[in-house]
Amino acid sequence: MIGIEGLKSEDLDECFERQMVFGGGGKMGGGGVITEWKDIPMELLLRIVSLVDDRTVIVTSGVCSGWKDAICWGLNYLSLCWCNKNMNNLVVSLAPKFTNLQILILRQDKPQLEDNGVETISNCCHNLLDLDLSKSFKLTDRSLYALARGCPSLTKLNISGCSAFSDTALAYLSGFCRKLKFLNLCGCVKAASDKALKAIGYNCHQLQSLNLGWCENVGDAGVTSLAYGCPDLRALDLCNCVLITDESVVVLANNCPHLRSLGLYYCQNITDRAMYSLAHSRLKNKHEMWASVKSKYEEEGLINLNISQCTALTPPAVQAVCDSFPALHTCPGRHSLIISGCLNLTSVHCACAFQTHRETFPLPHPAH
Amino acid sequence: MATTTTETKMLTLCTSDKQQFQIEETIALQAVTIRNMVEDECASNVIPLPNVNSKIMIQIIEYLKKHVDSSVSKEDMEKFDSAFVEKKLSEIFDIILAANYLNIKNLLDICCQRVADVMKNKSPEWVRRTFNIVNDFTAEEEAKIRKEHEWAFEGVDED
Repeated sequence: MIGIEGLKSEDLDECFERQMVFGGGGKMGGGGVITEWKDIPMELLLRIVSLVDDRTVIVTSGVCSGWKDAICWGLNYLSLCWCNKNMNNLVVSLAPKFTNLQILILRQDKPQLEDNGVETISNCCHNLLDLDLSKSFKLTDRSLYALARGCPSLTKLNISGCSAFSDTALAYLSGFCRKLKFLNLCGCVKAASDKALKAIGYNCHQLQSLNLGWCENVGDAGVTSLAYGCPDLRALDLCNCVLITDESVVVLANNCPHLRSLGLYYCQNITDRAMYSLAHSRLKNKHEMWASVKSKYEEEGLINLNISQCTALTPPAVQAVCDSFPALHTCPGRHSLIISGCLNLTSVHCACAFQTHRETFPLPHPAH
Repeated sequence: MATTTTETKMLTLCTSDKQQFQIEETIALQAVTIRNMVEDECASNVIPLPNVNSKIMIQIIEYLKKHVDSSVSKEDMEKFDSAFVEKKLSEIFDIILAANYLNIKNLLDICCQRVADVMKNKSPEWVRRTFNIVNDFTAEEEAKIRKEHEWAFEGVDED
């Protein structure tokens, strides 16, 4: 950064120079030569704007109408999560300008966003693909109804912590936003009911990632609908979904071959049966595969499993899962099979642990 | 075929004000536009650059000469770059247009970054003054812009 003093003299120099060249008229030179900042080609202005923070993006859009038009046309990412007081005012004022936004991040620490803000977004930003509304405690169902009607292209929606949403509104949204791939419902206790999950399974066949953490009303019926309706599911967090049982895990294991990450933290109804179904799904898939797709096999399968506090599990069942999915690790550093709080599972180890063991105590070579 | 020497191949660049610059080909080819012209053989020995004047060309050659030198350490190059962009904004403006036309990506990047740094945390009025831009908004639009600025910067210390 250069100091204010430097800029002032620079400012004067520049004005002087321009007056020399253009007689103070400030008009463009002949032959289409671009000579003024206000006429900077749009792609170059957008290149500069891509380097400034979100506050400065707002400032640059208010410099002159040429800059405003360029930025409003070209801006597709905006985050207002630095706001701690005026997010709603800014959203209501900016959304009608920035109509080509694709990604809008409105995560809040202090709840500010209100339904009229989300309604303005829905009325103006029809191309929105990714919307983060996490911790918008003030929002009601009105917001979800508006989004359903205004933003049908959404592929990523984060409403974690928006505890006021109802399952009726979430089910309604799923009927319009059918391209959703990532949905974060963490803490949406009222919204994430089995009824809503059935609607999601019915409508959102492209869903890849769903966070249902702390949604304690979720039951096996809801998870079953998801498993049948969303065959591309890759990540599912059921952390603290205390009602679910082995049924949920069995149906996921049988229907979601791309599942890579499963969170079952504190799902205390889960037993060894769930673990064996995961391990067997892997074996079953392996046998059914053609040679041509076998290489892809290595790129699939669980790479993350959280079973901490699942106190009913026994070591042989968990070891079977660990052996079936070589990407699951218990070793420090990689830690992708999380078993904290399960004291009886301390004997479960990933392959690395055995290797280390072998290196420390090398087996006697048979030739000796 | 006058510009070839035994050791290094030279190119002649001709700017908008008809000045000619003889530089080593390896230096000039860092500009993708020039490289394409040479590779497509659509240029004879003299490469016309009607969008760049000699004043800007001199500065761009200074930049290219430094950047072709592989003996310069990364740290020294960064020092050179940050000193290079300490110019008047009107010059930066011309270099941005030229770097864009000549397709010299890292030069364009450092100049755009300089402009971005200048604008950071400033008001629209300040940007207009500094970049010599006339406010062409209606009073109503201007009131809205002031409000947005106020909301965005509430609780932030002005630079």
